[in-house]
Amino acid sequence: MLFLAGFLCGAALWALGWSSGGHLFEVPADDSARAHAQAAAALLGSALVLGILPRGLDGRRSSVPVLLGLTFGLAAAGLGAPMAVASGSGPGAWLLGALLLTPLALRTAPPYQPAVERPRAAALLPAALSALTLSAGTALLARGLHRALPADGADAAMTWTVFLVLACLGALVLAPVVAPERPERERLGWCAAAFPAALALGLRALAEGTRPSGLRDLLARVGLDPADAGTAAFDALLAAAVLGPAALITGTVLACARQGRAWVALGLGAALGTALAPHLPALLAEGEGPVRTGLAQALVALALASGAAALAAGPRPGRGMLAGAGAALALWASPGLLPIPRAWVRFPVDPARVVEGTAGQLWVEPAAEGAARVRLDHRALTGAGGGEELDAAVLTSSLEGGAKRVLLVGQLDLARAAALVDQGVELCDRTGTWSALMDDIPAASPDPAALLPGEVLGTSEAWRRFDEGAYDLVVVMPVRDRAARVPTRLAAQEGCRVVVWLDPGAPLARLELGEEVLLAAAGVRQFAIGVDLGARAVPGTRVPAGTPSPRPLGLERLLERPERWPSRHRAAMLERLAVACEEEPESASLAPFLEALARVHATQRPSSPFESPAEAFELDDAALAELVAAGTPLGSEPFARETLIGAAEVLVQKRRVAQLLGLFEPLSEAWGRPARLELALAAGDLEALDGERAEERLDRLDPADPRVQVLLEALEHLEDGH
Amino acid sequence: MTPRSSTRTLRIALVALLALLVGLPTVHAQILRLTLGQMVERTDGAVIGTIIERRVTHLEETKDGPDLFFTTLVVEGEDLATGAQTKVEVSFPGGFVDDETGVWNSEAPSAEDQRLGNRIVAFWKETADMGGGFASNALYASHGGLFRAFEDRWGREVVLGRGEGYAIDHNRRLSTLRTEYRPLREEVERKRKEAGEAPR
Repeated sequence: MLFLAGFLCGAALWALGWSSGGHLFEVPADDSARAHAQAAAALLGSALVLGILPRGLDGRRSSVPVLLGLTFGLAAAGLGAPMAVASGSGPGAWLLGALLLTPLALRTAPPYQPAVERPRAAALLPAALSALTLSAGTALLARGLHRALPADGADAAMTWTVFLVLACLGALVLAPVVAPERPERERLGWCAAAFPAALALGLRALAEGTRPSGLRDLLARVGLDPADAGTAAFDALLAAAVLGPAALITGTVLACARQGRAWVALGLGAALGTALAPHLPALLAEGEGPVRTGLAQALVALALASGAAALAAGPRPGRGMLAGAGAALALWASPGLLPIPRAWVRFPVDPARVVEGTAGQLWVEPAAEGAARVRLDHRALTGAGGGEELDAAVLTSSLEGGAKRVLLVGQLDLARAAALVDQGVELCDRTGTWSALMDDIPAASPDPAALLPGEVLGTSEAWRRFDEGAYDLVVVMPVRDRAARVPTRLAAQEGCRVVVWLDPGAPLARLELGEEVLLAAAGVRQFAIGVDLGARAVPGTRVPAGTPSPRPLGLERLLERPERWPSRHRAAMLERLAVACEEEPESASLAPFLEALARVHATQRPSSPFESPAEAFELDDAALAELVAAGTPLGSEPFARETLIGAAEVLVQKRRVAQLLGLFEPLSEAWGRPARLELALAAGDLEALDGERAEERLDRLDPADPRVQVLLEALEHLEDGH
Repeated sequence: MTPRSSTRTLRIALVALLALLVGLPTVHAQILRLTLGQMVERTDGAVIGTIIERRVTHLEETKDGPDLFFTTLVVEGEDLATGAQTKVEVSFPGGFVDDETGVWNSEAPSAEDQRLGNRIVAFWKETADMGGGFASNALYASHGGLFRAFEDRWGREVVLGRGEGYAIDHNRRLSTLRTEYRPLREEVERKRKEAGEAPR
C-alpha cells in the first residue's frame, strides 16, 4: 500500500513537475515560476496524501517503501514512457486527484489507533523551515545542472531518478544511525543541521562540473568524456555529484519523520521552497560589469538560513557546530559559479552580458556584424537550427499576404528585424516569458529596436493587446531543440493570423499539432514546422499533421549521445507527415518527396567540428537521386522548390560537380531554369572548365546581380587560361 | 528565402569557387604550402584512382602516448607518372573506429573527400613511423595531398584544385596534370639516381 501510494505520487510528481509549454507565449520558453509552482503543488499534494493515510506512517512503519515507490513511479513516468510533453493539466492532475480520494476510501475501515502520540503542529515549524531551505537549494542546484543538459526532459528524469535512488540509500543507511533512540523532533533537528553542508557540497560540485577542466577531471574518474554529455551515465554522475549530498539528507529526513504530520510539515516546507526557488537568484543577483548572477549567492543564503532553522529546533552544541561548519563550507564554495555554457566549445566566446532572472539565466554572445546571439539557460533564442536563413524563411512565410502590426513571441535580433522590415512590417511588439530580461540585452549596432518600432511586453499585457485585436500577425519563433506543447485551438481576433513555428530537430513527432501544419524551408538542411492557429489562414505549403508517435522513450534517448537525435527527429517528423499525406488525396503528391527527404535526414551522422555546415551535411547518392525524382513534378510547391535548390547549392559547396550537373540540369530545365538553380549549375560548369556552357547560363541571368558578376569574373579568369 | 539572405549564402560559395579557380589567397592553408614541384620532390609517388576501402586503426598504448588513430584509404588506379596499374594504401592521422571512439583531425581530408568510390589524386610518402610505430604511406601534407577528380560531360577527368598554397592550386584536366607531373617526377628520380639513392 505504501509502495503503491509512493509509486503514484512519483508518477504524479513527474507529470505535474515537468512540463513544457503551458500556453502560446510559453512555446519558446517555459514560465519558470509557473513550472516551479506546479511542482510545488505536486509535492504538497503528495505529502498530504502520504501524511494523512490513516494506516500510513504511524511511527511503526518505515518510510522506505514510500521512497522506493516514489523512485519507481518517477522513473517509470520519466524514463519508461514517451518523453512527457503535456502541461500540468494532463495525467498528473488525474493521478493526484485519485490519490487524494484514497484516504476517504480507507475511512470505511474500523477506527485506527496510532502507535505514538502525534506532535503538535507548532513543534514541527523548524522542520518545515528546514525543508523549505533544503528544497529551494536542491531546486536551484538542479537548475544549474539542467542548464548544461538537453531540454527534452529525459535528462531531468534521469537526474531526479538518481536523486530519489540516493534518497532511498540515505533512508536505508543513514537514518538508522542518526540518534536512533531520540525523539523524532530531535532526529529531524540533527538532519537539518547537515543541510548547509549538503548545499555547500552541491554548490562546489556544480561549480567544478561547469568548468571544462573540472568536468573532464570528474568524468575521467569513471572513464567518461565530455562528449557523453546528455547520456544516461553522464547525467547520473553529475546528478550524484551535485545533488547527492542533498539527496542523502532528504532520504534520511523522510526516514526519521515517522509521523504523518511530520510528512505534511516537510511537504509544506518543500513546496514553499520549490515555489520560491526561481525568484531567489534574481533577488540576490550581484556583480559588477556585464556579469550579474545570483545562483551561488542564493545557495549560500539558503545554507545559512537552513543552519539557523536547524538551531531553532532546539539548542544543542553538537548540532550548532555541525550547522556552523556547513555554513562556513557554503561560504568557501560560493565564488565558484562561472557562467560557462557547455562542457566543450571549440571557440569559447566571452559573453557580452550574463543576467540571472526568474525566467532563468540570460546569456548574450557578441556575434559578427554587430548581431548578438541570445541564450536563455544556454538554449539559443535566436538563430534556431539553421540560423538567420531559417528565420527569414519562417518570417517570409508568415508574412505572405502582408501584415503591418506584428507581435513577435521570441527574441528580436538584427536579422529578424531586417526580415520584418523587408516584408513591410511597421510595428513589432515582442514578448516571451523572459520579457523582463529583454531590456538587459545590450543594443547591437544598429539596434534592432531602432529599425523597427515596438515595445517589449510582459505576457499579461501581450495577451490583453492580442484580445483587443491590436495585431495583424502573432508569430512564435522556433527555438532550437525545443518541443513544447502547442495549443491547437485559440480564440483569435478576426483578421489576425497566429502561427507557431517549431524546430523539427526537437522531438516534434510525439506532439499533437492539429489538423494541418505549414512547412518552411531554408535550403535542404533546415526547415521548420508551423501550426496555424489564427482566424485568418497563413498561405504556404500545408500538409496534414498526422498522428503523434509514442517514440522515443526517455531512456531510449539517454542511451545515445544527444547530437545524434536532431536528424532522427527530423526524419521521424517527415515520415509522420509523409504517411499523413498518403491518406489525403490533395496532398498525396507530396508524400514521396517527404519520404525521400526523411531518408536524407535519416542518413545524417555526426561530423567533424572542422567542417563547414554544407560539408557536414550528408547527401547520400541514392537518397538525393530519389529526392530529385520525387521533387521534379513539384516545381510550383514552395517547400519542395526551396529544398531542392538548396540541395544544389550544398553540392556546389561540397564540389560534387558530376552529381550537381547530372541531377540538376534536367530539373532546372523542367522548372523553367530558375535563377538560383542556374547560378549553381553555372558554378558547376566553371568547376568542370566548361566556360562555354557557363557563359550560356549567365547570359540568361541579370548581369547586375552580384552573384552573376562573381561568376562572370571567374569565367574571365578561366578564359585567360588560369 | 529573401533575396538578401540567398545572395549572401551563394555569394560566399561563389567567391570561394572563384578563389579556387584563380588561385586567389582567400583560403589559407594550415599545412605546408607547396608547389607541385615541391610536392613531387618530397613524396615517393602519386596515384590517380578510386577509393575502394577505408579503415581506421586504433593504437591504444604506444610510445608516443595512448589512443592514436590512423585512417587508411586504399586507392586502386594508376601511377600518375607511369600509368601502370597499382593499388596504394595512404594513411593520415585521425578517424573513428566506431560511432564514439576516435578523434577528429582538423587537417585531415573532409568526409566528402574520403567517400568510397571517389576518384582522387593522392601524393604519398613511405613512412616508417607516423606516430606510435604506425608504418604506412603517409598522405603527404594531410588533406593537402588529396585532390578529388570527376568526369565532365565529355568523359574527360578534371582534378579539383584547392587554392593557392596547395600543390594543385586550380582545377585542371587530368591530362594536363600528367603532362606537368611526369617531367617533375623524372627529374626527381634522376637526381636520386645521381645521389646514389635507390629509385622509388
